[in-house]
Amino acid sequence: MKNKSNAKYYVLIVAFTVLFFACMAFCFGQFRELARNYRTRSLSYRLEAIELDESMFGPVHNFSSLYFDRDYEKEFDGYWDFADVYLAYVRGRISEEKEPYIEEIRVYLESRPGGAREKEAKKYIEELEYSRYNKK
Amino acid sequence: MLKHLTVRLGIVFLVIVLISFGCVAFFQYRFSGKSSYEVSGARLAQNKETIARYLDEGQYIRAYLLASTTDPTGEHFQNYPEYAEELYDIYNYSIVLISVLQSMGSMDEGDNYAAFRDTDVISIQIFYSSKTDSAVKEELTREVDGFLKNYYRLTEEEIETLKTLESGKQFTLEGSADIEGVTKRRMEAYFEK
Repeated sequence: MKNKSNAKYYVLIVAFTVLFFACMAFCFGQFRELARNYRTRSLSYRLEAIELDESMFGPVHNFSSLYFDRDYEKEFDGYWDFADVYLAYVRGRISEEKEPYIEEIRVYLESRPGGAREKEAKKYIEELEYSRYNKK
Repeated sequence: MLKHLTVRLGIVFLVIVLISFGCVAFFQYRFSGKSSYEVSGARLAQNKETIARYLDEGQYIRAYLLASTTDPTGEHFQNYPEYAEELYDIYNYSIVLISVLQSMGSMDEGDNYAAFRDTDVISIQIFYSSKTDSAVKEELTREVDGFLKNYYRLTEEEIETLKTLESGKQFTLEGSADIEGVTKRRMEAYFEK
């Protein structure tokens, strides 16, 4: 009798232990997925991603990266500054009155951004001025 | 003895499992898109100040991104009611802008770029349908008018027709429903692509 009831308790202990570890494994899986999702939405990850994007493809894609990754924080100020220049260039390209957009890009260049951004902005001014004189 | 051990072990395991599930549920809520964490108390006040600043500085898209990312209702902007109309206009404008940028990017790369499509017509109609009376809407309307006239090469009459077109009616250019073909031909002639 005692052996039978002991066996019952042993079975229960084993069942509790197995269930416990199964639940812990499930919670661990959920935490890992949460951590992974949080990491890819974290500020540092997004900063790294846009920096890599710019170094590989140039600053032209900054606006798309900022928009699709929803990078609005103040840490992205420099990227937004160039994105505004890029949008000024796009508007200047298609509009007949190019002077305001050329001026906007010139103001940006006064801040001496340096590197690929400065080079790209100078290219925009050249292209807008060329198309302005050609359309005359 | 064994009975007590079993019962106590069962209780301890149950408590640990319940605490773990509780933690998982809390963190899933806290870091989920539907969390209202980012729009409460001091954070909400700070977000509103930042949105006001971005709107003043003309950084419209940035203001929209901040608002929609930190609002559990997304583009309904329920927690930014004072800016909701303008933010919704900016959201619709951003869809038009992205379409233009992607089209222009493809055109520059020499790919088979998208000209003015039926989906663009819908986005633009939604943008124009908003009756917000604000400086932001006025500025964005001027820009979208500019895209239609200077990029997609629509005439003033065609733009006016598009603005007043009834919902569900087909937008035509030069009598044709193939608006993409017509605009592509005009764009190629203008941009010499």
